[in-house]
Amino acid sequence: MKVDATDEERIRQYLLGLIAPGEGSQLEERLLTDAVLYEELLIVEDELIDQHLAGRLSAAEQKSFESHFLNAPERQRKLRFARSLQKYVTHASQKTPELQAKKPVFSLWPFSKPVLAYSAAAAAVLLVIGISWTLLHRAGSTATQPGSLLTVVLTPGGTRDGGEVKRFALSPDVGSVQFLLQLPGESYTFYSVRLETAEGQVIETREKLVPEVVDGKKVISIKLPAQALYRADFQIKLVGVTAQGQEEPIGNYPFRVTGP
Amino acid sequence: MRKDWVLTPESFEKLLAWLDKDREQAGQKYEDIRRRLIKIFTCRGCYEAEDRTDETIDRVSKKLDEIRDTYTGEPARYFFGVANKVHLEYLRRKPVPPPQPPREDTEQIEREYQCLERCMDRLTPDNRILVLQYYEEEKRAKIDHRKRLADQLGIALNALRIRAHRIRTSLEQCVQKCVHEAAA
Repeated sequence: MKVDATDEERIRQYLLGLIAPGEGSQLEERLLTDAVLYEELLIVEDELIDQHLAGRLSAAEQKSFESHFLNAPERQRKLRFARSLQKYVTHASQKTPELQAKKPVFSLWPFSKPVLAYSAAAAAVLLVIGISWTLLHRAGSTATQPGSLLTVVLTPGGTRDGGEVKRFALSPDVGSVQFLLQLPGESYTFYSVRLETAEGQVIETREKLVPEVVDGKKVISIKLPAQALYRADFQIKLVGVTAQGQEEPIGNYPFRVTGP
Repeated sequence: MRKDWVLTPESFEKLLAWLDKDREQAGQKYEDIRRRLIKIFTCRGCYEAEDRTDETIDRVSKKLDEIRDTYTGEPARYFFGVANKVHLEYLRRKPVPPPQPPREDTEQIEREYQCLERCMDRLTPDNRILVLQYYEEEKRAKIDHRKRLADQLGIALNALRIRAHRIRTSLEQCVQKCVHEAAA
């Protein structure tokens, strides 16, 4: 279920103990059954702490924050963590002031949105990084994310034992997820994949992938950091690229992340 | 608190079977319900949120043989009803004193900070930069800054918010683990 601005405000009031009892009960019932809403509550909880530290709560909110919100030892720990994080970020940006002007690493990757104003030197660096990255992935790179690796086998159309969409949970110790997309038959020179949300929002694209053989089956293997995924429905769109460079859609591989 | 019934391995298995036919899914649902009930008790200002949650689960388990064949709604909603009763009883009992306010233990704060430095180093370079960029302009033009960051990443602002939150959560867990290991 989607979360809107009204929900966000209601959650904020709820966390501060300022919500009407009836409304609070309705919200709690939804929190128990709606994973998206629950994650929103966790996010707003962190945002309230950050706003408290930044002195951006109203006087009434500040009072409730201190008298109600902070009563739980768990939140006192979260407040300490937020202070440490703020201190770390401040120190890091003082040490590396260029960070503010720097593009995120994603923008250097060959599968991200093109950036128009690169200089020739930057383009060369980009090319080297892009080629290295692609080669690593073509070689089935095991570049490590912190935490364990979860392998998920997906079939085209997502049908599995009676047409169910593949579901899996991401436990906190999972650092990255390796998707093995089973190929339906015809071979192409290269393959491209695009990870999208159920609503069509593109999260990640990968190009120039080549098949591997796993358990006797040809698959396209892609590895993603677990942080790129959250509790929701997704699909991976697979495209084959012919020797002439023509792109042909092969299939969709839907899946659902059910936790944490 | 009077506690005349405890959750046995058999009754726990029955509870899981009620939550879902698939054991893996059932385990996930159990964890979800437990985690969220703790949060709800906490939000209600209950200082014993975990104890009250376990009491709720025990009571649902105890009732399971009676309700399993007749209750038709989502199990989570049944838990919610029982949690409400448990909370009312908690309010009627002698009030529990609030926990001690946090002691400013500078050594503890320093230990946590050192752990945070280690945990930041363990992040992937892109996640580290995302955290630094997402949180660095808290006091300045934060919304514009985050919009720009989301555009650069080619994702929606809310997706960025969720991604930053998930990294932050993994950092918090990493710091807790690190502090715990250091103390052991």
